[in-house]
Amino acid sequence: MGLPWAAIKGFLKKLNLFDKLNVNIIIANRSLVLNHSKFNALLFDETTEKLAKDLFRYQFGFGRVDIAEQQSELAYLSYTHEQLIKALKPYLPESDIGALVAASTVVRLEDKQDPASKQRSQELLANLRRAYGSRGRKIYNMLRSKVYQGATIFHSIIMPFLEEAKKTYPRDAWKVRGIFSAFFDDILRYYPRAIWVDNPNPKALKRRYVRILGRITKEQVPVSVYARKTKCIRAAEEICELVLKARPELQLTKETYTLGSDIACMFTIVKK
Amino acid sequence: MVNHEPNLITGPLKSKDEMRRLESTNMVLFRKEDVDRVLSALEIPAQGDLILDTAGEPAVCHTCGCDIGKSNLGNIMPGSRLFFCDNPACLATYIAQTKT
Repeated sequence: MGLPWAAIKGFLKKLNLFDKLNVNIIIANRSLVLNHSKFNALLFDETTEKLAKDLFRYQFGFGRVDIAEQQSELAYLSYTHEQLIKALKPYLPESDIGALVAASTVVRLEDKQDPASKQRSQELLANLRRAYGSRGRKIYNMLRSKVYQGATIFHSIIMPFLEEAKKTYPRDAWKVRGIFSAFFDDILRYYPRAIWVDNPNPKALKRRYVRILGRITKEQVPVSVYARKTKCIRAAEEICELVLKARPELQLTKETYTLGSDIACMFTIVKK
Repeated sequence: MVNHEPNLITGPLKSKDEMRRLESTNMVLFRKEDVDRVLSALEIPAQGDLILDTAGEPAVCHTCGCDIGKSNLGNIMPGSRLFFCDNPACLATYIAQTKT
């Protein structure tokens, strides 16, 4: 019995999906596309098995369904980081690009979610801070930021600005560089306006409380408060509640997300 | 001169040429318990838990170099010669490094 070509062609057609978040690579003259939201995939079953020998061996890759989504997510992250670095390289000083490369490695290690990688990521983060100072740390924070639907500050603010500058002055790379570097310096100077709760001991918490109230008094509302790991998140929540008691005209919004294997939270204090 | 290539970060794909560049080869996904069936369908030999490559040597992960067994097999790439373990970062690293 021959192969059911009509059925094969049918699903091949279906699988040729295009998405703006696709990751594209060439392996042995063939292109592989991983879709960020889901793998373009056919689940392996007995029918597939019958076809596998004749058709799939040279045309398809095989992957485990339980790790596919995470692979896709990580590939997307790595890919977008590389694209970012490539796109920003002509417009940023070498030190900032160095910090960006180191920060993207930290992010990738954190996202591997195993203890050895976590240890390495912490060491690398400490090195990054030592080598590039607070500027390097801010670049890492920006790469880790979540502004809108999982997009970072780079994707949602910096890259669109660069694209716009390039469109405005398509023949003058020096002008683009001048405009963009001033913009990037400004972003770094004013980011983060957030307050980080990274130490749950009472003295440190009191300092954070005073800083938040200070920002509110100076009318720098909304104030964002970030915390990572359960202990710090609980501490941050308590501080925010104390602030709300002192200033009832304000209200709190809370957004939880994950950073590597840690749970993280962003509290935003806004006017009612 | 700065290269002003269209990028895939900030916007949707626009031109038909860009669409054409993204021809896809696909992944057939399998459940962990179906490893034996996948291996036999692809005629990939195994010795106990260990998977063997075309030279009869134990297959290793292309990225991290660990031995690939039935229990930690993550991916087999088209051509059945390239293997990845079940650490999601391994395939992802390969993809990031070999992207066009």
